[in-house]
Amino acid sequence: MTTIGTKLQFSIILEATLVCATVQVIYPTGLLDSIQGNQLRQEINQLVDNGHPCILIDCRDVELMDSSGLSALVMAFQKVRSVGGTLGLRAINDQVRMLLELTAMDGIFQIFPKEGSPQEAMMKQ
Amino acid sequence: MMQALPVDVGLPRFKNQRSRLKRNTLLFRYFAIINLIIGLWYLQWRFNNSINFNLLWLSIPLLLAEIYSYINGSMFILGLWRPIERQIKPLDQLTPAFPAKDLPTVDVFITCYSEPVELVQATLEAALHIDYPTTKLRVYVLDDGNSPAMKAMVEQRCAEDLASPELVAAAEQIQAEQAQLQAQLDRLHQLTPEAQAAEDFLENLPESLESQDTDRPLRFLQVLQKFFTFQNGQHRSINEQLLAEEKRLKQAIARQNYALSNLPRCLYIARPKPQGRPHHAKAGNINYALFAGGTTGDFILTLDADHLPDRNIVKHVLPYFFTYNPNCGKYESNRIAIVQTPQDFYNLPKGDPFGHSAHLFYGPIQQGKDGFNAAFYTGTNAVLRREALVNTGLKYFSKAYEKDASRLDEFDLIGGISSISITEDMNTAMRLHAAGWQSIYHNEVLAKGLAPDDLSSTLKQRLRWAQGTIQVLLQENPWMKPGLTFWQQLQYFQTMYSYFSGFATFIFLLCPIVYFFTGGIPVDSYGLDFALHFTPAFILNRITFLTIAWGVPASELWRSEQYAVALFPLFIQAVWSVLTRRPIKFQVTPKQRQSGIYLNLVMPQLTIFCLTTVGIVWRGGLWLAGQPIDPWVYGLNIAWSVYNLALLWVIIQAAIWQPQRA
Repeated sequence: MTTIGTKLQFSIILEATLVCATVQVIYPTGLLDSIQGNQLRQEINQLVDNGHPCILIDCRDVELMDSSGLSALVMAFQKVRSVGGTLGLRAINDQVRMLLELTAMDGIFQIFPKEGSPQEAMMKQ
Repeated sequence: MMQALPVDVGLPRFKNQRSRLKRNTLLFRYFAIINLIIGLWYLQWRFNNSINFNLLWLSIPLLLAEIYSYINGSMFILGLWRPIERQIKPLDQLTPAFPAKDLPTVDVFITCYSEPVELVQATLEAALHIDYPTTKLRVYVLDDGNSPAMKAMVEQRCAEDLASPELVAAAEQIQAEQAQLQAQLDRLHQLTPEAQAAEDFLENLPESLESQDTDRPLRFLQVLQKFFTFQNGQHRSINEQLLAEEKRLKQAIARQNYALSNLPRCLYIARPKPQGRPHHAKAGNINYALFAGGTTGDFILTLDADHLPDRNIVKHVLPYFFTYNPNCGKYESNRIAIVQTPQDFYNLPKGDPFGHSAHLFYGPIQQGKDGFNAAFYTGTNAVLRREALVNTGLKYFSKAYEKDASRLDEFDLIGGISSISITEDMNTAMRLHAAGWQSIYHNEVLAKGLAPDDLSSTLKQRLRWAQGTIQVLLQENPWMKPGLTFWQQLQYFQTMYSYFSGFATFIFLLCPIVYFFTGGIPVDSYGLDFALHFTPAFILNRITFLTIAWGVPASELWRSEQYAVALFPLFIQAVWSVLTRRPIKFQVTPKQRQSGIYLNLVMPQLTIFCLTTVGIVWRGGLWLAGQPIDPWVYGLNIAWSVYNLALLWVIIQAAIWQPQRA
């Protein structure tokens, strides 16, 4: 756990040039598949276009995520990065973590354990 | 012909599919073993007894060419060791029946670049007529040419499709369900204030009323409230229940809204192609549709622009992707990622001058690969599992991203189908296999397309295949790829290795010419001894080949042998261009005939052809003029030359071929 923590801090320091005055939190629910993923991606695109490049996806109510859902997150990540923003995941369940590890995507997203964690506070700096 | 019906309702009732060894396989294996041994025996004889040390510049290359060919042939034979034939019941005849509500969604991707609109329209039309529930099938035209005419055509077709009775009925049904849900919601809203008030009243009874235990109706009401709010062993207030119900209804209505907005099932996708950035050709086109095109199908049928699908294609292929689990009474997803069906053509001219007929490949060869779970994906007429494609694609993407974070910008173009070579299909299948997914070859023609009918286009297509395959070898060598089984590695490597044959072929064509003009021969004894060793090896090789290719017309086998030799300059060019890392452009195979005579494209073959013919006459003339020669050697070289000429003739014929005017 500590190693993940340092890794996260490191990546956040790398992105310290960002100014995230506010972090928008999104709460998807249920099955995050290609259909939900598309909707989520559109939502995030809108947020970014409205000037909110820092987005946190709270996955506490996500029961299952498939690869298409994950690819939608990568597309969203692409979008936020294109305007210099950042995208984090919070409170992911074990299934989602497994999927992320299996596809080696856990190195791409910032992952926060739960609401109000110290790492998350750094995102807002 | 050789189409042993794979879709067979004659299967036992409780068996949905079965596979068995292809007929003649045991006989083939018997010949194959003898063949391998005799070949080895011939090679060792060549090595030990018959190298001509006076002509080393030719005898060494010839020996190397023979060793190359032996290895090539051996791998080919081993790859055919376990060819299997499959039988499967169509989707609606499975036992037990596949529940209609669980049917997966299917997207049809029609990839096009610069094909004429009418051609794509015909494919689109056929795709819309595929037999599958209308709300579960969507057809996408992925237009990499970004043509306004194509867009207009698809949009018009979409409007017509929306007006079709099935879709109108579907829309009405959704609207009816939506209306019903809305009515429920309204009713709920009506009830809410009163119900809340009643609950408040019952929960907080005024002291005065509570003390009067004679008021039985009130007590009953309280009990009823307790009863109705009792769920899963605990009490949830009426208020909470109402809120939950309201949420459920709203979600259901949103789902219906979504279904309604997704009713159009004929859509156009054209990706932006910014200047100065790699577009990743066909792979980029498909990936864009997967990630940025809003497509959601569980399965993807990929079709080239000219490939007209049969209406059964989905129902005959989908059952492979599910396995019935009797322990839980459900059809479950399995690990099959690709089901490939044959490529066939409806425009082949008589005699197939360009050698497009591929019953050998889409037959014994694919069946052999299937036997080792290595059936190749060939880019069209195949159904892919989205989850497999995206999951594997993500793995490779994260590797690329680790090396270079700027590749994130390209995710929508590289995240699924492999984009590292110009033959994206082969590499994609290899990656899926390495990731533990499986593939199936379904030997039933379910789509027919257009074959290029002029030499220029044919050569471009072949060059692309050759270059792409060698590219994959250099970038993702199958022997170095963890996750592949030995047999899968062999299957992939064999295909790659066979594209190096151009050099060997050149030597084989050169030897007789050298003899005719200089009298020098690379083999020490061209006499009886040579015939004794060579003939059995050659004849056995032919017999082995015929046993496994049983059912493929002899003329087609001969055609494929001809092209394997006659394309030698192209194979050499392919290896050369990849090894020297010259930039390779993805050449889309033209679908319209490029008219003309193409002798300029076959100059190397023509030169060899002429030199061989002149050589025969020249040496014959010398003989008549009284120069002593060994008639055995002369005869053998003539036989060899005639064989070579017959092989090369095909491409010269193709260069001057013109379609018959009607």
